[in-house]
Order: sequence, then C-alpha cells, then structure tokens
Amino acid sequence: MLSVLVLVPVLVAGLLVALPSGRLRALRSLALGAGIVELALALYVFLSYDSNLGGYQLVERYRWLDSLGVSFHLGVDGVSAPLVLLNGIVLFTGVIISWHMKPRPKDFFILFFTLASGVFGTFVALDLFFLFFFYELAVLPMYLLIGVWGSSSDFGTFIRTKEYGALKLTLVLVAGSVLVWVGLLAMYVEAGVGSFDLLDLEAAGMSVGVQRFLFPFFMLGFGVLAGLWPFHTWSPDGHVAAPTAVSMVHAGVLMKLGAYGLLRVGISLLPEGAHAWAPVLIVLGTVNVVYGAMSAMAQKDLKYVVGYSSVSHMGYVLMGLATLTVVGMDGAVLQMFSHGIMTALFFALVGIVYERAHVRDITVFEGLAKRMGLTSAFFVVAGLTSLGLPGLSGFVAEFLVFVGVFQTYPVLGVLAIIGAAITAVYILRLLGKVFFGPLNPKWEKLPDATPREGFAAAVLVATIVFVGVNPGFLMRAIDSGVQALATRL
Amino acid sequence: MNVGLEHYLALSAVLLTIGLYGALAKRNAVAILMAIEIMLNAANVAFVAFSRYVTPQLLTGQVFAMFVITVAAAEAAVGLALVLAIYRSRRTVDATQVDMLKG
Amino acid sequence: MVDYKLLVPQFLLAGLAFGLLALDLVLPPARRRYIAYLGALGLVGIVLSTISLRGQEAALYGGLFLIDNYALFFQGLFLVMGAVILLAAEDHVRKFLGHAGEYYGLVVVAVLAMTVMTSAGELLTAYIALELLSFTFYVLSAYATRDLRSNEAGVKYILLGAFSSALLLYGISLIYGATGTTYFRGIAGAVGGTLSPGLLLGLVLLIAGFAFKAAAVPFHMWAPDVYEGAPLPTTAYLSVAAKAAVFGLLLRLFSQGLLPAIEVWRWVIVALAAASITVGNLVAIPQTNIKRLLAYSSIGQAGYLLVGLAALSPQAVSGVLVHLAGYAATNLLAFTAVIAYYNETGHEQIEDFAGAAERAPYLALLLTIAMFSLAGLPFFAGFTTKFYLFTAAAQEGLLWLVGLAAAMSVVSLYYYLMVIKQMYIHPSRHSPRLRPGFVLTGVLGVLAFAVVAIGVYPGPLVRFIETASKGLFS
Repeated sequence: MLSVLVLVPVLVAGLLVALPSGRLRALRSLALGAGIVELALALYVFLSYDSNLGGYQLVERYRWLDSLGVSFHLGVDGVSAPLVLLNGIVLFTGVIISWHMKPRPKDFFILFFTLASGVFGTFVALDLFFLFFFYELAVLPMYLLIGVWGSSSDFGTFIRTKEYGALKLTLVLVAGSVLVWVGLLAMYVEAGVGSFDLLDLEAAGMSVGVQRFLFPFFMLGFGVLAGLWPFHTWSPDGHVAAPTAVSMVHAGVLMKLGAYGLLRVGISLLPEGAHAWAPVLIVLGTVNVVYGAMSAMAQKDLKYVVGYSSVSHMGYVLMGLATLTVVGMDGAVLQMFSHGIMTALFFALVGIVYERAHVRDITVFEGLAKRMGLTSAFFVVAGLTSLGLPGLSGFVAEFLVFVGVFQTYPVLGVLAIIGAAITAVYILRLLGKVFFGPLNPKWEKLPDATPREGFAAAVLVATIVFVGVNPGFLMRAIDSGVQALATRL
Repeated sequence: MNVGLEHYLALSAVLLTIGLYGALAKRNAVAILMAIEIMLNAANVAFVAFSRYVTPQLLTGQVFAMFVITVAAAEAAVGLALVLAIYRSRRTVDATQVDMLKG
Repeated sequence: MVDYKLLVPQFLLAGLAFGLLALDLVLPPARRRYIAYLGALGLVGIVLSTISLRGQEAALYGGLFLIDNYALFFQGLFLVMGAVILLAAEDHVRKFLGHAGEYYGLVVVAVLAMTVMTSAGELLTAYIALELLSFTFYVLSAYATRDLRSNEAGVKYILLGAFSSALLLYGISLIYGATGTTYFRGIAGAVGGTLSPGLLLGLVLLIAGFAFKAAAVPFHMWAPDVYEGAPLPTTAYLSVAAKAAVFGLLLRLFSQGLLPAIEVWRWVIVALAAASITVGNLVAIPQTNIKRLLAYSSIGQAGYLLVGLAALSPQAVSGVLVHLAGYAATNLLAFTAVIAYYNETGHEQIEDFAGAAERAPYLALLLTIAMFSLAGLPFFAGFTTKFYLFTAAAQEGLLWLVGLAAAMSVVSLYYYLMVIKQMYIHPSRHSPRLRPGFVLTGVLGVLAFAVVAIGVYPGPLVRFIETASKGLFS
C-alpha cells in the first residue's frame, strides 16, 4: 500500500511526459485523478494505523542492494501517519488551486508530482538510503518550479527575482542535505552493522562520543529544511517567489520533512547526542519563534508575512522536539500537521488575492471583505489558527509545546509566549488593515474566490476546525508514536 | 674504470633532463616533439641497462626498448602530421601563438 | 598454449576497424552513413561474444593478457560506448567533418585499445595499448581539418600527451629496474611496506603520467582546450571512454601490483582527488561554452573516481566501476543532446540554449536529466552510483574526503542549474522548433533509459560488478 502511495505520483509524472502538451483536458483529469487517489490512499494509511498496536505498520520490504545493506523498506508509525495525511490533503488542494496553471501546464504537473513523491517517500521510508533518496527527490524539482512559474518581488530599491529565490532555496537545501549525507555515512561506518536500515541502526546503537559528534550534522542538515535560524532566509525568499501550489506544498509539508528527519534520524538514532545538543536546539528554536514573528511584523508584502510566520511557527516545532519530553514532542508533531494545513491555506488565499489584484503590498489593500467575503472569512480562520485561538488546531499544538517547554526550560517558555503575543499583534493588524475598514475604491471590481478555489480552501478550513475540536483524532496516533520513541531517550 | 649500471642511469638521467628542459622551454612545436623523443630515448637507455644488470637472463627491458622505438616513430609521424596541418592554415609552428582556445 | 577463443572479441574488433576503413573506399559518399550503422551493429554483435565469455578466468601469453569478469565488464562497457558514439556521431560527421569511414574506423580502433588496456597484466602491454588509444584520440581531436580550433586541439593534445607518456615510460623503467619485473603480480611480490627511492620516483612518475591521461588536477590543463576544440563526438568519446579505460587500467595495476604499499601512495591519490574535485568544480562556474563546462565537470568526476582509487577495497573498486557506468551513460546522454542541438543550430555557447524547452522540449528534458544526474540528484544514475562509491570510501576511513566531494557537488549543482536555467527560464532568441533525426532520438532514448535504470534499479549491474572486482583481489 505504501509503495503504491509513493509510486503513483512518479508514474503520473511519467505518463505526463508522454502526453502531448496540447491535451489540456486529459492533463487536468490525470492530475485531479492522481490528487484524489493520493488523498484517498493517505486517508487509508492514516485510518488503518492502529494506535493501540503502535510500532511500524503497513510494513513493506523489498531487496534492493544487499552488499550495501539497502532495502526498499517502507512503514508508518504514529509520527509519520498524520504527516502522510497532511501531504495527501495539501497535495489534493494544491492540484485544485493550480487548475489554470500557465504556461506549460504539463511541465508544471510533472515536477509537482515528482515533488509529491519525494515528500511521501521521505515520510514512509524506513531505510536511510531511501529516506535520503526521497528527501533529495523533493528538492530536485524546486528550482524549475519556482524559476519558471514563480513571481519576483519588487522592494522599490531592489528586486528579489524568482531566479534568485529559486537558486537560494535549492542550493541551501542541497547544502543541508550534504551534511545529512555525511552524517549518514559516518553513522553507517560507526554502527558497523553494514546496513542503512533504520531498525538495524536503532538496534546497533553507537557510543556516546560518536553520537555527540554526529548529532550536529543532522541538527543543521535537517534543521536547514525546517527553517532553523540562522539558516532560514531561503524560506521566505523561496516561498514568496514560488507559485501558489508550490508554496503550499513546500511551506506546508516540505519544511516538515526537516523536522521529521530531525526526529526520526537525529533524536531517535542518536539519543545521547540529542540530550547533549538539546539546549542549543531549543535556544535556536526560541530565536526562530521570536525573530520570525518580529520579521513578519516588519513585512509589507502579504506573502512575506506568511513566509516569516512559517519561520516563527516552525520554531515551536523545533522547541517541542528539543524538550525531549513526550508532551513537547507530541505538541511538535501536532504543530507540524496544524501548521502545514494552516500555511497551505494562507498561501492559497494570498495566491487568490494576488491573482486578482496583481499586488501583494499590505499598504494598498483596504476593506477587501466587502468584495471578497469568502476569501476574507477563510483568511480570518487561518489568522486565528496562527495566533492559537482555542477550538482551532493551532491552539492544542502550541499549548502542548508550551507545557513541554515550561517543564524543561521555563525561561524560554516565557519568550515563546511573547512570540505568540507578537504573532497575535501582526495577524490582527493584518486582518484589520487588509480585510476590514472602508473599501478602497480601487478594489471595487475585485471578484471573490471561484467555487473551485473556495472548495480547496474549505477543505483546509474544515481540517483545521475538525482537528481543533477533536484533537484526539490525531493525538492518539501521534502519542503512540512519540511514546515509543521516548523510550529510547 | 668499469662501466656499471650507475653510468648508464646517469646517462639516462642526463638525457631525460635535456628532454624535459627542451619540452618545457622550447616554443617551436617541432622542437618540443624532438625533446620528447629524447625523453623516450632516456627511458630506452634505462630499460636496456636494467635488462642487462637487473635481469640478465630475461630480455624484458630490451623488448620494451624495441617497442618504445616503434611507438616513438608512430608518435613522431602523427605529431608532425598535426603540426603540418596547423602550419598550413596558420603559417606558424610557434606553440605560444597557437592560442585560439583560452586556458 | 593460447586459447584463441578468449581473444575473439579483439580479433573481431580489429577486423571491424579495417572493414570500416575499407568500406569508405567502396561506398559512394551518399551511402557513407551506413558505415556508422554497420559499425554500431558490429560492436553490438561483439558484445554478444563478450557476454559468452563471462565467468572465464585465464591468463594468456604467460600473464600478459588477462581475461576475467573485470576485463569483460570493461569490454562490454567500451563496446556499448563505441556503438553509441558511432550512432551519435553519424549526423555530425556527415554535416561537419569529412572522411567518414576513417572516423568510424578510428573509433573502433580506440575500443580495441581500451579492451587491451583493461586486460593487460603487465606494464608493456598496458603502455602499448595506452599509446594506441592516445594516437587515435590525437587524430580524432584534430579531425575537423578546416576548423582551426580543432587543429589546435590536436597539436596541444599530442604535445602534452606525448610529454606525459614519456614521463610515464620513464616511471615504468624505474619500476622495472627496482623490481626486476613488469608484471603486476610480480611487482606486488617485490614491493613491501616501504619503497626504495628509485621505486618511489618511478611510482610518482607513473601516477603523474596516468593522472595526465585521466585529466586529474594538476595535470588537467590540456583537457578544457582539447574538449573545446575537438569535434563534439570526439569530445563525448574522450570524456567517458578514455577516462574509463585509464581507471580500468589503474585499478588493476594498483590492486594487483601496488596494494602492499598502499600506505605509501595513498596520500598522493588523495591529494590528486581533493585537488581535482575542488578545482574542477570551482573553475566550471564561469564557463560560457558547454563543452568547456562539461570538460571541467569531467575533471571533477575524475576526482570522485580517484576517491575510490584511494580507498581501494573490493567494494571501493566496485564503487568506481558502478560510478563509471553511471557516469558514462549520463555524460553520453548530455553530449548526445548537445550534439543533436548543435547539428540543428550550430551553436555551443551555454546562452545559445536559451528557450530550448520551447524549441525542443524532449531534448531539453533529456539534457536536464543528464545535468541532474551529473549533479547527483536522485532517480538518476548519479545519485545511486555516487552514494555507493562514497559509502565504500567512507568505510576505508576517507570520510573527510567524501565530505569534501559531497560539498563540491553542491557547487556543481549550481553550474548545472545555470544550463537548465537557460533552457527553461530564458526566452528563446530563435523560434523554429528543432527536430533531431530518428537515430539520434533513439540513442537519446536508450541513454535516458539507462540513466534512470541505473538510478532506480542498479541491483543486477552491481552484482556483476561485485563479482568482477572481487576477482581482482583474489
């Protein structure tokens, strides 16, 4: 089942290559069909995960390269199952949002599905070779996705071109993956079991010194993708330049790959190293939260606000992981899911506004709610999730993270709460400025979201509310996964 | 005085040095080819000397020298042909003036 | 008694080469393209006879010429490369070069020379084969007689090539003098953990000579000029085949002859590897000509291969072979795409590729695949083969060198992306769509399939290579 989940997007990409480029209807049906199939599969994977049983489920294993100790080994546990679901939802809505993608829609979907395959693969791989394989596969299409279909930002005095954003994102992420690669090879040699299999390496264990030496490789390597300060600048630049659907998947899901890798490879295989480096990680995470929020407050471009708010929210994930407590890590994983859906919603809505107004400058917008009622309502939900309103998914996640942090580093917990307060300030200010107040006559003719776009946004909003009201739906799975992980710490 | 292995090796080293100097310092392509021939012959002297003094029962070194002489002849033929081709079009065999390709 | 059955591929190759040369005299110019097709067919046919020999172990002529899985792997690789080059070159030769039959004949002679190089168990045989290979490449480089750049490439190549051969030969003579033998196995018996000064000097000269042939820094200065000046098919051939043959010879020589002294020479190879990886990748950045760019990138690739040579365990040798196979498929794909583009447009500057995604979508896609594979991104050969090679090297304690190589592959991604950027992001300055010929399209398809196949399912290839490299150490 998992191999189908991973391979379907690749097959679709292959089919698209063979499809003549003029066949727009066939192209869209294929893309939508693949989106629906992937969502259904992701839902099936999540629902069939049995929290009472725990451990790795839906395991598949095929021989691949015996001499190197690499097998195509897939499986999900309580941590990865919700993230698979997250990717399924975001991928599906992303396809709907990119319905009218221009130019060269065929090439776009080829790359988009390659990205999707990489993301699914990373979440379900239980072999570090394949984890790394899919991790890089997710980075591979980014340069073209941003460079061809993205948009440049004009700052008045200088222009951040899409090529710049694309190049920065690609090179920084690949540089991060090099650290991971070297770390993996060192781990392989040190463990001395001649296997890249996650379970074999877990069983093998490594000396404390080696663990302490290797942990920074993974902390920085995966951390780069998770937006770890001070290596986060690719994220706003890249996500702002990217086309809507790519920002959704990249900010929504791909950044979680970094946090997931940190948890799965760094913390779970190198627990002693994690204990030694947790103080550094949590301080950097706090900087992420506060610095990200303050940067978001200073931005004038709507998309940059969302971009920096992602940096800030990923800070909670990093903090939660760094507590190394069950509560904190529970919160971190839930925050990954919640932030993924929320950011996807944010980027989708910003895309809708930008497509109509062709500007993203906050200062020129006023009272959009009068013309774009649906869009504004959804934006308010996303904003309230972002500032952690109870009843929405963000609240539970951040609350758990705060509990974890206060148990371990109370001082930083205070700073994190200050960060949350700054978030509330910039979000409310943004909502008030852009959507409420008197309508600027310039935007008199602005049409609201089409039913198609509205449907995509509604799916995301529904997820946010559902998880906010009923967090146990995800928490049972997450907790079973984190509990198992915590026994190793 | 007995002529021994060291003398042959000294001769070979001197030849090699002359060849090296010529190959590196000359600008005329034909002269460079000639210098390289001297280097090959330095190796030949060493081969024959080693064959005589190190493995007197085997002829490995001498066979080697025979082959190298053949190779050197072929090398000169190909080299001169190429130099000739460039001389036809460029009217020079000065290696420093043949510089359309940067680097 | 020599078992001539084992030499059938070499006899057939020699026959094929002369046959193609003779055909050139017989066929009218309009039909000369069939010489290339016939040559490719012949090479593929010889692959069958090579396959039929697999599993054989024999030392012919008292150990001068060795047949084993290792030699046969390379034989197969060279034959396939030769066939690909013949098919890829045909259009180009017809449009831009003369004397088609001789060109194709020389390509086949080079295949013969390379198969002998990787079968040689003795230095004289290896040297003669290496010289035969070099001579064919000198001529193939200067083949565009009316193109001044091609002439210049030929002269530069032969002057520097002959110089390096002379150094190599002097090195061989010193090794012979110090050990009394030229057989690899015999040398292994004579060298111990420490080396006499004469042997050490000989070894240094030998390594320098081979480093020159493999275009490793600091003996690489000929490569960019020759790559740029030579006709495109020659450059393609030179960048994959000559490199593969030199490494095929080096691995056998070092593992069978010099393994006991590994601690003495390892640092030399490590230094060459580090320099090649760094210089090759950094200097590639400012290049504006696609051939020069690929030249520097191939210098970097030589560095990766040297990492495997420095490790020299059975698995590291497998790593080099696997990487060579993947690199050959990838680089041939890149060059064939460039040849196809050049045949239609006559341009080879990177900026001339602007808008290629509109003008020739499949060509652009395939060149992009090749670039990603060279940069080592997954789904393509480069990722898997590099991972294998670096894992093997890390196990031999060369993790820092692997780290350097991995870091430099980020740099390489940058300049490969610059090519991709031209093709996909920059608008075209010329509008007409390009339609490469049927044969070229077919070759491109086969190569792209190979690149993906090695990338996602390397199992069968790797298993055969592992038996081959184990045999080298027994």
